Amino acid sequence: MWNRRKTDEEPARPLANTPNAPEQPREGSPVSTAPARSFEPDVPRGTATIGKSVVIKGQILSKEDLVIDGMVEGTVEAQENRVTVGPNGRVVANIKARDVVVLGQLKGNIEASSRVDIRKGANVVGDIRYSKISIEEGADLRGSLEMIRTETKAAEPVAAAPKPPAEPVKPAQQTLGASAGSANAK
Amino acid sequence: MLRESLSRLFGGAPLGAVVSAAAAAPASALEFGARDYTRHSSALDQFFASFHGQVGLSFLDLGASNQENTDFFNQLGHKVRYDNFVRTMDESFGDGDFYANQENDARVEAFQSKVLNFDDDSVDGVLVWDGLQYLAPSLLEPAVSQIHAIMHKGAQLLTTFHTDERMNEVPTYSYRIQARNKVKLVERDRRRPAHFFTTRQLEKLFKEFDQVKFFLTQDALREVIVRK
Repeated sequence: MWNRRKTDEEPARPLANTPNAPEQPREGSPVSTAPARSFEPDVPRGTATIGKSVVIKGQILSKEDLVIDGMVEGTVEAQENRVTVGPNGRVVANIKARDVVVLGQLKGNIEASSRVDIRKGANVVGDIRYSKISIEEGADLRGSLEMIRTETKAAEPVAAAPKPPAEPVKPAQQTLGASAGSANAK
Repeated sequence: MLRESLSRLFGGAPLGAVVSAAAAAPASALEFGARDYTRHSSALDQFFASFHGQVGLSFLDLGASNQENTDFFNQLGHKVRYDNFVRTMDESFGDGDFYANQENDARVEAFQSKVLNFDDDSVDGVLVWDGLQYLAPSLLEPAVSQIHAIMHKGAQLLTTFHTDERMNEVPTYSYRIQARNKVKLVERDRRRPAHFFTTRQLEKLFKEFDQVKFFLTQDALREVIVRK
């Protein structure tokens, strides 16, 4: 209840309470690395895609652009590249990338060294740090927005990084192998 | 035709009242029925004047996230948090009788777990906009008390209330800051407020705060600045 519960951190607000709540990840779901056909127009060559029937739990490190149209729980890092949460994407993870585009659902913090695009229909619960941001009409965003300023960027202490709102990451249950040719899950 | 339009504009009020109200109202008040419009806001001006020269402050915007407000806070060097108060109310109470649902303990608890959950004394300024007038009395006071708790001492709050009691339904707006003293109001929908407040009632509502200031606007809104 309000005001009577003093906690150090803001409690996580579950996406499950939103109208378009994602299904719970199912263990043993088949891993498909095929690009989502419905999302092809926005996927340029050389971009890794996590298709909409794919469920990944763990840490994703990518050195190429990444489109997530499936379910991901854990962390996503693509420091030099763009991460896109597609319209079918259901992500519970902190995302660190050069650019982040969200069209689907994301619960977690975003840190983008360059640009963040929150598109119409997106649902984001988490804190965002960015250099540039664009919020389309019809996007639902709940969390704090903080611009990364050049002068503070260099001397930024580690402790200043956004707090992870999601529960601790469980060990990877599925690994995306080399055949994925894209996201390397650890 | 004109009579029907006017009657609709004024929420189905008796035509006599509508006509006299229309005659008495300044021309700009008729823009009330428009989908969106931009106007001067003295309250917004005073709200931001109190933060003049400061950077790195933390603001809470209880409206829907939007590009204009984000850019405005960025330019001033502040951090903004969005909490989408009205949308969360709709998600929590919107299926069925909106106000009766606000008496349901389970729903209230779910609502409270989703909004205004910030550390005490962590916010320098709160833009509540028009959300409070849609809270049932049982939820209104706890909400104001929670907002009071998360604000720093000396922090300010800006909120708006419709004043025209003849209206059955009033527009709910998305508020887009255009400049320190200018706001664009984009109509999202119309709904019946839980209350129309008098100045005295508002003073009572914000009794925990140190100072309450009122600004009447031409579009039948009362803007209120409250300082903790």
